[in-house]
Amino acid sequence: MKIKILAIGPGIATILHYVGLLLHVPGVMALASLPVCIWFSEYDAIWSFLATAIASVISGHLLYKLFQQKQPIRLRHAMLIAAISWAIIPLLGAIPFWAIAITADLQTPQTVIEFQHFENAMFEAVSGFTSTGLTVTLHENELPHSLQWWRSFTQWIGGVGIIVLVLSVLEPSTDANQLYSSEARQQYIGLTIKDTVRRIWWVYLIYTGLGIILLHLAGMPWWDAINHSLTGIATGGFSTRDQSLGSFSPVIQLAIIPLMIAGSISFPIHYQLITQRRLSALWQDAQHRALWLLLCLGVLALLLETYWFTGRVLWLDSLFQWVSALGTCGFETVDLDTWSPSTKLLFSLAMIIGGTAGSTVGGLKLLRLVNFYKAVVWRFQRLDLKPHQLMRYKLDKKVFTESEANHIIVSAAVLAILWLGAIALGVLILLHILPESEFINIVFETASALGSVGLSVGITGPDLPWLGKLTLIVLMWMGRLEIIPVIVLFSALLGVFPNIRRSLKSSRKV
Amino acid sequence: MNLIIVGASPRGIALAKLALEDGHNVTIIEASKEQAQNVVQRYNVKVFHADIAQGGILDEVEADQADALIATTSDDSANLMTMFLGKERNIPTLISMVNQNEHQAMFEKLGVHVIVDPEVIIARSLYNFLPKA
Repeated sequence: MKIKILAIGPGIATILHYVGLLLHVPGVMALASLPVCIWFSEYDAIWSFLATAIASVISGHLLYKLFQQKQPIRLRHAMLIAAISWAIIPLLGAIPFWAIAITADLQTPQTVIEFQHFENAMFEAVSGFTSTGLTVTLHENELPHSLQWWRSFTQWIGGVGIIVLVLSVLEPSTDANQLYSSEARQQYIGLTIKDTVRRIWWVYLIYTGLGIILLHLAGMPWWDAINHSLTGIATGGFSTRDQSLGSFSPVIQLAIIPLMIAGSISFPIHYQLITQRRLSALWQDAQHRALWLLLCLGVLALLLETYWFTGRVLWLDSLFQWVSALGTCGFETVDLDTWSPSTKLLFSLAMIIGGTAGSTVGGLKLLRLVNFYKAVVWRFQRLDLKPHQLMRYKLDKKVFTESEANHIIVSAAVLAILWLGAIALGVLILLHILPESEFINIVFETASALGSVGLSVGITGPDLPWLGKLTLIVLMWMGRLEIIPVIVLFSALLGVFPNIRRSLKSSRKV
Repeated sequence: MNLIIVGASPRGIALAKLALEDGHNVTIIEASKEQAQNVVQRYNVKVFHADIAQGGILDEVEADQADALIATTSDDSANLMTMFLGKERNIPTLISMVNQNEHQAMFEKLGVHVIVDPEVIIARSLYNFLPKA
């Protein structure tokens, strides 16, 4: 059935077709969450999840059927698909929070009532799908189990990626690699996208399972173990408890550290580790060596800083919080607001950098940091060259030509500039909304939102004015997609780049 | 040892590879930009894009520190010039490929080790595999 209702270009039709496809995801997720409602006898919640499923499947299916794919996907279309889908899916994912809140009765805790404001529900869903972990929930304990589950589940799916999920289930077309790379996930494990995404899911399932067992053995009740394993491996950071990980014993806090580190190691390395059983895979490339180095240096710096300001050696908290920040997970064992500005600055830097590319982390990712390091080294090596000598651009056992090397550096530099620009803009807006707050706290929270981290120094909460919430929502959305797809979307809407606009309207190659 | 190889011909590259495996420092001078780029990407050697006839290139590669200078280009005049310049800088070992038989005497007069006509060497090896009549 093909209905021609709108005179739109084939580019837009293709984009809407795929957006429709991706919109099925929250619907299927809502249906998969129904057993949780039944298990905990939260029958009131069932209809909110059903409503989510219906809204998402109907809207998705309509778009999918009304618009046919008219032309192969180009990278810019894939970016638009990612940007649009990642904006709409949290909207659907917000429905359970909101629907459960509006059916509240007198016994319903204030925590749930807050979600009657749709902006709060939306904030929680965006933070979920982007696997950030900033939360407007007052008391996690008071949330119904179904919502605790929904928060963890959205992070677990969002951490790997919605497009990755869809590609692993469906027979991917020739355009799969464009879609795959538009979601800030570029690393390949298999020869094809299909191999790659399936292997990613296998690794993910194995680690999640192991994480649940590990946390339970460390003494967590099953329900908390399941939720924390989901959000830990996704480097999400939602918790089922008020004090996050602070409400658990030091043994459990120690047990969750390897899980957070596993979440910040890239899937290709995990795959090698599982299939070849070689531990050396963990430090064979520059990116992962940088990860271990930064983990050690950061913990050391934090130990010194906290000792300087408090006179005590907070070794467990320093270790835990640094892993949580650099791995962009966002679990907390302490109230970071009470820590010194210098440690907050260190945390902010860690949250800007993030873990390794090809894992579930946010942030700029260590791959870019390694590229910058190389750029500096190369700069000085070039100075040392003799007039006729050729430069050897070596990175991870590969030698690049000059133009390839320049391309690597420029792409990393562009992203870093956009990243810092977004932070500057976010800080500027939040400074106007929250004139009382300390500057470093605002920088901290902005870096946390953009880096999909979720550590908070108390700025995020239901009391934050709506503009502040919106700012953080946009930052989370931009950060998860590595900014560029979002800029492509805005420029397409504003018609800044004529080629993008033209490519949406005509099937002619531009 | 510090080796300088002039000419990134297949033979020059093969030589560089052998020397690298034994842990020697290898410097290659190659006149073609493309070929030079190719070598720098494949092997961990210092590569200079220059013509040996250009003055001063041997000074640039610090030839007076070298233990051996090897000319492997397909142009005998370039090879001869390389050997001459090497002799001038008192490089202990000078080796050159000679492409045309009649040039052999000139090289030997300079006192360098020569390999004449590689094709004949290969042919002789092939011939030696034959059962002796």
